[in-house]
Amino acid sequence: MDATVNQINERKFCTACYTQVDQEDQFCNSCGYPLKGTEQEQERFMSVRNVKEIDLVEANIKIKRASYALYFIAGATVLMGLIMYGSSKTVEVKNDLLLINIILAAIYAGLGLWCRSKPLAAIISGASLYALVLILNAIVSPLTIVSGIIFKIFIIGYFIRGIKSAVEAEKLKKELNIG
Amino acid sequence: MDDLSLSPEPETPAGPHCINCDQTISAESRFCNHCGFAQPDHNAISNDEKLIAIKQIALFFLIDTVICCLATFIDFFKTLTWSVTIDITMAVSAVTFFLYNWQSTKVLLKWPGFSVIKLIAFCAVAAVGSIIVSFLVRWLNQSLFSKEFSYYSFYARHHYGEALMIFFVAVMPALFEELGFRGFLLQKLLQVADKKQAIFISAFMFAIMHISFISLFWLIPFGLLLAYVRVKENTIWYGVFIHFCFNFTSCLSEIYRLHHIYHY
Repeated sequence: MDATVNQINERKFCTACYTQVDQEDQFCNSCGYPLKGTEQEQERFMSVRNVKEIDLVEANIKIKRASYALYFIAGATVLMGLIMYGSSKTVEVKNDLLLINIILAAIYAGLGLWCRSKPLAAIISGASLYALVLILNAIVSPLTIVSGIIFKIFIIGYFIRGIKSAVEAEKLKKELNIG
Repeated sequence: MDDLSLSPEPETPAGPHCINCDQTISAESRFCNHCGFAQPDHNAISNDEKLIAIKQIALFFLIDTVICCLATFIDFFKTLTWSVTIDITMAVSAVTFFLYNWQSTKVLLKWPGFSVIKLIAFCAVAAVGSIIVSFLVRWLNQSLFSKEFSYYSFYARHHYGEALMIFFVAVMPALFEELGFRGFLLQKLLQVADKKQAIFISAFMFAIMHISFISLFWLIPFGLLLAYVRVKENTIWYGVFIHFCFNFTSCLSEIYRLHHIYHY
């Protein structure tokens, strides 16, 4: 074969996942796309792939909701800090409380942002910090469990679904050979 | 010319073969490039197993959190007897979770590639780090919260206070926190997430578990270091010694400070 033609044809990419493949490959070895299959086979492959892509979009929506829950907690923590700052009498205590709440809020918000690149780690960390704060408050003053219980249930629900979706999304990304 | 170097080498019969058509495939192939058959991933863990692992992690974390919160915030538990009971309960919890996952965790008790130089280097770093951290913590406590904090004063009232403190602050946590967090927890997390995420989650949980706000700034890096060493060396023992040296140094500096500065 002519050397120049060979050079041009050398780089070939998979139609489905854009990985580089060899000229003689029958199937893409990263995603299984039938490179030399019939049009019908290729269409069937792409429709299965599309279903998985839709699943991935749905998983990402749930991850996004978990990140919104983290932002919400961050906001609520700042608000609580300000309320406590306003209501407590001793100067030392109120400064400490405000500082602690602001740093906590910053951690929640940071984890919320981190959901974009590493959702699993961000949501698990955020959920464990939230659980710790809930338990801590419940032990110091047991009545705090009841206050805003509906919000708490919703937030925990978003976290659990977020964690499940993050696990699912990682599996789908691997199967689709993206990210 | 490139074609020549890329041509398949005939002398690789031991390489991976497709499980369906038995033709040679490259090691990283997830599908056979001849027949399209999906190749089994032997390290893959199903999503259901991952979710069970996460539930176990959550249970361990919740148990430890409740115990720690009780010990920190309820005055009733602030006696030596209760403090010992709580330490033992945490140790039992760590050992239970570790043993429950014995099949995957037992390998961590081995010490492959044991190196005295590495061990001494790690211990020295831990000791120096501990001095820096205890200085910073004291400074932060004084300037931010205008408070003095000492765990020795808790043990000083008792006979053999120093020995008790060294045992309960340096020996017990070094052993059982490593067993729990770097042993059980990190091993479980590695089944769920990739290495970087697992290291971060374990360090974060380890840091917030201590329920000391001011200490978060050094506990997270400390947890990251311990988890990194544990993943890299595949043994918990370096971590145990680093953790011991770190806590032991801070115990010694505490005792020294109280004896020589305040004449306790």
